[in-house]
Amino acid sequence: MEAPGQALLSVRDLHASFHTDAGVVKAVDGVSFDLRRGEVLAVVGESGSGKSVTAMSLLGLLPSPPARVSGQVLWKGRDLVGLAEPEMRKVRGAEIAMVFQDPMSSLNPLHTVGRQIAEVVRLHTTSSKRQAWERAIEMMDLVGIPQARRRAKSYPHEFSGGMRQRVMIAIALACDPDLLIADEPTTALDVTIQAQVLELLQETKERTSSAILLITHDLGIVAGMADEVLVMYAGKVVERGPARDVFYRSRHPYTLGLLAALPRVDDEAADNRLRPIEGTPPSLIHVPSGCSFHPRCSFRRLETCSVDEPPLAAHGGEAHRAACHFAEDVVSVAPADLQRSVPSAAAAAPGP
Amino acid sequence: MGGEPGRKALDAALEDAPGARGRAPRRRWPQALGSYALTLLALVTLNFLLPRAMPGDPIEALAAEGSGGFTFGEQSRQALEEYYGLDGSLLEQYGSYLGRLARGDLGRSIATLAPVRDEISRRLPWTILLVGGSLLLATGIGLLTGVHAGWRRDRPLDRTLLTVLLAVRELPTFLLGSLLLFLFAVKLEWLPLAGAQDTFGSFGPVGKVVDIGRHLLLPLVVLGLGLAVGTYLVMRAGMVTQLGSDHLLLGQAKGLGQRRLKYRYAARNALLPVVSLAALQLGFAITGDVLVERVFTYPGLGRLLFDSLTARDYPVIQGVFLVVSVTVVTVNALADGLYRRLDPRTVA
Repeated sequence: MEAPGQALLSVRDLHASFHTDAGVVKAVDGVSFDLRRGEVLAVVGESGSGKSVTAMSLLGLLPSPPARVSGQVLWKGRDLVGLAEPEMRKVRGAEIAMVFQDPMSSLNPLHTVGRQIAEVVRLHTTSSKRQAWERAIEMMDLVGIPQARRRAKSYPHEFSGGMRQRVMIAIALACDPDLLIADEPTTALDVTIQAQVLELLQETKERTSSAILLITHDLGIVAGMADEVLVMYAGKVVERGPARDVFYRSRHPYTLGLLAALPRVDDEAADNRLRPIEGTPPSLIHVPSGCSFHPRCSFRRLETCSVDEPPLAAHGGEAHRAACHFAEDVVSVAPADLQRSVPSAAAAAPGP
Repeated sequence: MGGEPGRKALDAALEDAPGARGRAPRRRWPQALGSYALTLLALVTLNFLLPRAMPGDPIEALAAEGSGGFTFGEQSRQALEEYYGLDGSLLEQYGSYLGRLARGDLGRSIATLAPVRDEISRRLPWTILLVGGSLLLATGIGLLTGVHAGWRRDRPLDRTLLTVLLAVRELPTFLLGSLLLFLFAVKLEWLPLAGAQDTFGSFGPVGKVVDIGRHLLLPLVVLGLGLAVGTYLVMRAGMVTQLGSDHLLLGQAKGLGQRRLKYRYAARNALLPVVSLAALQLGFAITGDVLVERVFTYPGLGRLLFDSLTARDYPVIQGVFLVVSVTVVTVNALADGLYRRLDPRTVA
């Protein structure tokens, strides 16, 4: 157990790279963050920003080779990076559990769902087969699967997507983990089911005082759930801070861009168009010089941004940090302003 | 967010959704039986027609086999045709064949006059031993190598197995058989040259088993190796597909050990196509059996089939074909059933 006030999980300067024939892909490049009990930390970013790889490397789930992970993942004071596989296995599923994106393919199609929940209970506790089965039914009941006792004997293909995601959450929660990593837990689900799954996660956190690391590209989800937000771009953290600060006082153009790309229902923005971020995410083999976002940035000044890499510096309080040379310019702009000003600097500027 | 009432309503809706309501009824027995019966009738018809589609006929073959230069007159030929039941039209012959078959009568060999049933039952055990044994051997070797190679894809073991087994498959059966015979039976004299057992030896029960085993070994290996490659390739491909699968990743995130992931998750899922393949392999095995029994002078059905084809011995050809096709259909039906047991998704 961690000391009082100390973080449950402390990630320090985490790097994860893949050695491919085309070159070294730096998927995660110096990520640091802390996570305390009862906290929800959201990691947001586009596909390829390194958020899923961050999650996978916490649990040592990246295939090695080709993956190489360095840095520190302090879990209750113990470094998980380079931990021997048998020790790591005791952490996985028991202390840190994971929920994946695709409930359709993440369950073993040949085992009943009850068995798949009981399996993890048997693995990490001393319970008998019968106790593990009862626990599985209890968990199914808890995550809101009706007629759990009967449905425990069903196979994954006999469940809908939302129900399968509940099964996956039941598997994750079966051993009362201290940390739940949810990697895009709602992406593959219908919008109505999404809300229910999120609610379930929220309830769980409140009941068990565990922490949640929520990985998503959906800022709507973040707004509803997260205490802290980490915005990732090209393998680096570009902005982080309390959710409110990041949303209402964004200090990184990329965060601002993500927010401007969100549809809004309020009347003010009714006739505004959605503003996608210009350009595409950079190749992680040849990351742009200086600030890796500068080729797509509407605030950039080339002489600075293409040369110096901005540090993740504190702005308006220690908690809120952004890696932008012109963070003070960014904070004065609201996402809606971006949506309104159609011919933007980036659109007018010649491409990189 | 949905809230409590919304969730309840959704749960109710899900309960009524088709996929969520337990299993669909199984395919009914009469229906399945009917389709197998139809398959069998088609096979019997083909078995009857195919030998007759070959050039020549049994009477000519008899003449060629007998004293050289001996030819039939038109009258004796007619008498012989009548004697062997070859005189009627094709349809009449087919009718009487079906009639006799329904009574369990397979007819007599034209070449030896022995009842076809006896000819077959005398040789069947040897073929069951050889074909069955090599299928078991092939499935065993194929599964074992496939699981390990696929799990350690592109590692030295995998690359070596892939090269060696593909090379083995490219060797024609008769060449591989002759090579092994030459090496182990002629040069080293470790194993017998031909036959299924030593006719002149007097052994106790154990000695007899050893003797049969020594005769069986080479044909078994030659037939089995070729078949093993197919199983190996399918199993390996299945394992490689499994390696990147989401459920394996979830299993890993649950904290499961490598062994469990390899066998209970990856291999168990990769096994499904191998079951279908094993049934198909029986067909290949029988084809291979004809060649292997030739090379090793093994006294099984393959030899009988080969000889009866040469003699255009219609009743025997039909008899062997019948046994083979009934076996293949039965094994396929069994594989179907096994597949259903192994994969819950196919029940619905």
